[in-house]
Amino acid sequence: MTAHRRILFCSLALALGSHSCKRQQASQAPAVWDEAPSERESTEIGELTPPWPTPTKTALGNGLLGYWLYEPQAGACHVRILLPFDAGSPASEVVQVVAEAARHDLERRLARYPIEAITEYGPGRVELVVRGPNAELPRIIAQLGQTLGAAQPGTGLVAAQKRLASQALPLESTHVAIATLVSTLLPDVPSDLVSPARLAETPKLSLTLGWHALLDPRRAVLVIHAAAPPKAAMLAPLAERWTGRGRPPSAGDSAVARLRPAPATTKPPAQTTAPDEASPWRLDVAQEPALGGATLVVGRVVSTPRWQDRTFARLAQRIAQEELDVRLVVAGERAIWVVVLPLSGPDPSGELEATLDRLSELAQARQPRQRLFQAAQLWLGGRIVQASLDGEDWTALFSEAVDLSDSDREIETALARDARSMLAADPEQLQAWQRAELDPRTDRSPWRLVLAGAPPRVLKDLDAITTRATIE
Amino acid sequence: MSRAFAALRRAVSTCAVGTALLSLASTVRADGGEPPRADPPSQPDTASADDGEPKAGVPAEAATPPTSAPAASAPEPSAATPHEPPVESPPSALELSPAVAIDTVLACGLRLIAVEDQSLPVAAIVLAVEVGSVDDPPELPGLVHALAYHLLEGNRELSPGASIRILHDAGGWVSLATSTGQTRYEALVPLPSLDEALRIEALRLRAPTVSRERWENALAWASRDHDTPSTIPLEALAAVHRQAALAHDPRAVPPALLTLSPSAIGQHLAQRFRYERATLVVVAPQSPLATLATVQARFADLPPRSRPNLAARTEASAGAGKVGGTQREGTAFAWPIQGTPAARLEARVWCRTLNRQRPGPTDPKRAKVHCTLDPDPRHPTLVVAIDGSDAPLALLDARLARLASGGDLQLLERQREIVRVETEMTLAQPLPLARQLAMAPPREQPDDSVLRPIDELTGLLRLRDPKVDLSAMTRAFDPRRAVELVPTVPSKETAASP
Repeated sequence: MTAHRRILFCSLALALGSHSCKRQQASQAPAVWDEAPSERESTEIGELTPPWPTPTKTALGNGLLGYWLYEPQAGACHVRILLPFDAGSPASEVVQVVAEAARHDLERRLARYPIEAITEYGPGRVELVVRGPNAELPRIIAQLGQTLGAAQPGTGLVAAQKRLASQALPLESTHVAIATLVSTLLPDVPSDLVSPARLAETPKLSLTLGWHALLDPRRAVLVIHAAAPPKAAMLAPLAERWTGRGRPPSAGDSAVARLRPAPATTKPPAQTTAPDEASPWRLDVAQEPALGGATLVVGRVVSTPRWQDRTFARLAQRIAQEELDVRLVVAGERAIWVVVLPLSGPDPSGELEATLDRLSELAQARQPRQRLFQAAQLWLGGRIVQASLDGEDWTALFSEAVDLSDSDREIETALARDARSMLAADPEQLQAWQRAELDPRTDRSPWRLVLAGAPPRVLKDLDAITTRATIE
Repeated sequence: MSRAFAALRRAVSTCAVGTALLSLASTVRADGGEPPRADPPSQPDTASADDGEPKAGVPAEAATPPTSAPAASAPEPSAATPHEPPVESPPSALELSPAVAIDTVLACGLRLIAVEDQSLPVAAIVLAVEVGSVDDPPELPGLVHALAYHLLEGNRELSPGASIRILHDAGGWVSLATSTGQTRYEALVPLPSLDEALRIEALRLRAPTVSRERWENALAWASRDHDTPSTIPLEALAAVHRQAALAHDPRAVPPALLTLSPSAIGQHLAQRFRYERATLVVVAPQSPLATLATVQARFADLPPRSRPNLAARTEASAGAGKVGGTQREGTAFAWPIQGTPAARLEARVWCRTLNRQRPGPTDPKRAKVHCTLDPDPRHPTLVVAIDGSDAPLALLDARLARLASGGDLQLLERQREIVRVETEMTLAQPLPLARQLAMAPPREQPDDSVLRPIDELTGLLRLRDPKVDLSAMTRAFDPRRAVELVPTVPSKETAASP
């Protein structure tokens, strides 16, 4: 072969070779992880619930409803009193003072022992939680009876009021905005927005009346988690010393009925207007002083009467949280879907429009099964890990289980059912639910905006796309 | 101790039999051999710290995607080593008592402590490496702190930040704790993620990828830790423990760190962060035997290493003399405490007792004694401040003498009881228990057993002993062997005097 022919042959080979290497077809579609999780994965994640036995339920002579969770290996005992209250009765400031007075009195009585008492708040209820050694459970219950049954708590209430007023700081703008949104959309749900000024001004008589209204055993629920088996005699001091006053409330002997009252029959005013082309989004401006810069929250009421709806709401929140700051405020059979938007840039209207667009896209999108599984895994795993970090308090999980139940019979299994339903969520069903409930661009029912901690410049900018109201 | 425990103890009375047991135990759970897998996409959160010990924050975001880079000289993982299949079924009689931990050293030199806790379906995993700021070279203060962050930047198997992201995606919680003598990687995960968490710990110290970009990333995170981890001035800490290496800021990020070459970083990592200097603690709702089997499989491909003698790191050697630097008025005395859980608990009892003693008949009315305990895992320090007295040494002497003579025995016993109950409640949770176990020293005299009572490891055993050893306290807190902490700022009285 001559040199000329060799070059020709090589060129031909290269030409053919390069031709054969060229992509002849369009590239493959990107992989979509849409297969369901394996049965083993689902089973393992679905078992992320406390291994509690059937709780022993008891109704005490004073009307208090009690649940006893017995765990022989419990390293500490937890006693939780769940105290529901209605919107405005008593006022949020009064509720906080009463709860602090009770907590402080209890801690004072048990100061010689390694026992701590804290208060936790949720929509429509405050919870008094005591944690201590198992051996001190009888003492804790007896002292709870002394504290909650106090007939003249006046001094303690005033001291608690002073203490809280002196510690009160201006609230964060996110907290103010969300609390204002909740009270705007659900006026029948008690607000957790406590004004430092109103707190200091509350008269002693209101505090005393609030004490007796809030600390009524006929409306309350007691949950005990201990290494000791249930003993009726141990609860006797609590039943004897703590009694309710006035006409008995109509809550009955159901924890769900006591803690999750049905929503008011009248529609809140927020649901009478609908945003459309002619009437732009309504913007409420919170007047409470707030720290942390301008924060805008966008939200709407999501109807969650069935436990499946509650599952969808949580999953949707978890997925949206990957891109947006989305919160879910659960109040009985309703929830509020809240999108938090800190306004730091020069174009608040643009930021809002972009957020609403993204929210709309998310609501319309079908999520692959693997993404739903990841969201469920994160939610369920995070819940049980947080419970461990918070002291392995089964009463806290029990309180959450009440919110997930439709009747008392379901409480024990509510967390497990929640886990199973999250893992079994169908992408199409979730998509349909999201389209109906969460798309701000197509939804006909009202969305509301609340702004807190904002300078006038932000208000002016938002005027272009909203109508404004002021919330006192 | 249960009969089953006694039988098992007999069965593992020698190393050889212990090794046989380990291979037997591997039959309990033999699903730990999956190859490393790709990390799922996620949004990592910021980790938090919640105990008294100063902690470094964990990077909230993963850095850059994995890149090829020179590797440190730490041992590399062997490629996809298959794990041994189950050989035989474990006898059901080998049920461990819940009060017993497996405490053993694997062939690779890693110490493993495995404990069962059934309360919730979560597992606590702590990898504690016996390295801290005391191991910083004089010319590179803050090196170990920065290296601890660098180990979050991944290696051939883990992309940067993956060790955090993977566990966060499963709902887990992670944290990094640095101190003078120990660095801990802590995680609390849902039970299904335990195997993944163990896989991460089995990879963490292997051939970390070193590059300038990753080192700068690590330094950026390290520079965000501003708090000084010690509650007493660093010079005083060094004097109390008679270790000059404790006098520098352990979280400093000097320019010299930035100029380190990748090969130097790799060498520093390989010298300090090694499995034979580490303890892996696993507290999970499964038998410790099952945990042992999984861990053994995960670390099976590492070459055999002997474990260095680390006992000296927990010893306390008292200094003496005066040291300035305190910002408070009045006089304070400081003593070193042995770096073990038992010694720290005992010191807590003494501290509580000193704080609650009634004034003596000759004490000035305004005299106050305030005792605090710096809870560093390996260099704990007890500080007693005396205010309102012209003769603080005499006042402290009198208080301690009253304690030593048994004059306040009732008070001491009461404080002992409170500390015991509080500790029991705290250690009933997996993460605090795992932390405490990570600080437990190895047994002083090897007795060839892999089983140890949990109370012995956590120090609770000493508090359960009804007999109070007053002489030990007297020996430990001789005021003449204390370091006196002198204020640098002149007191008001001194400043006012001509």
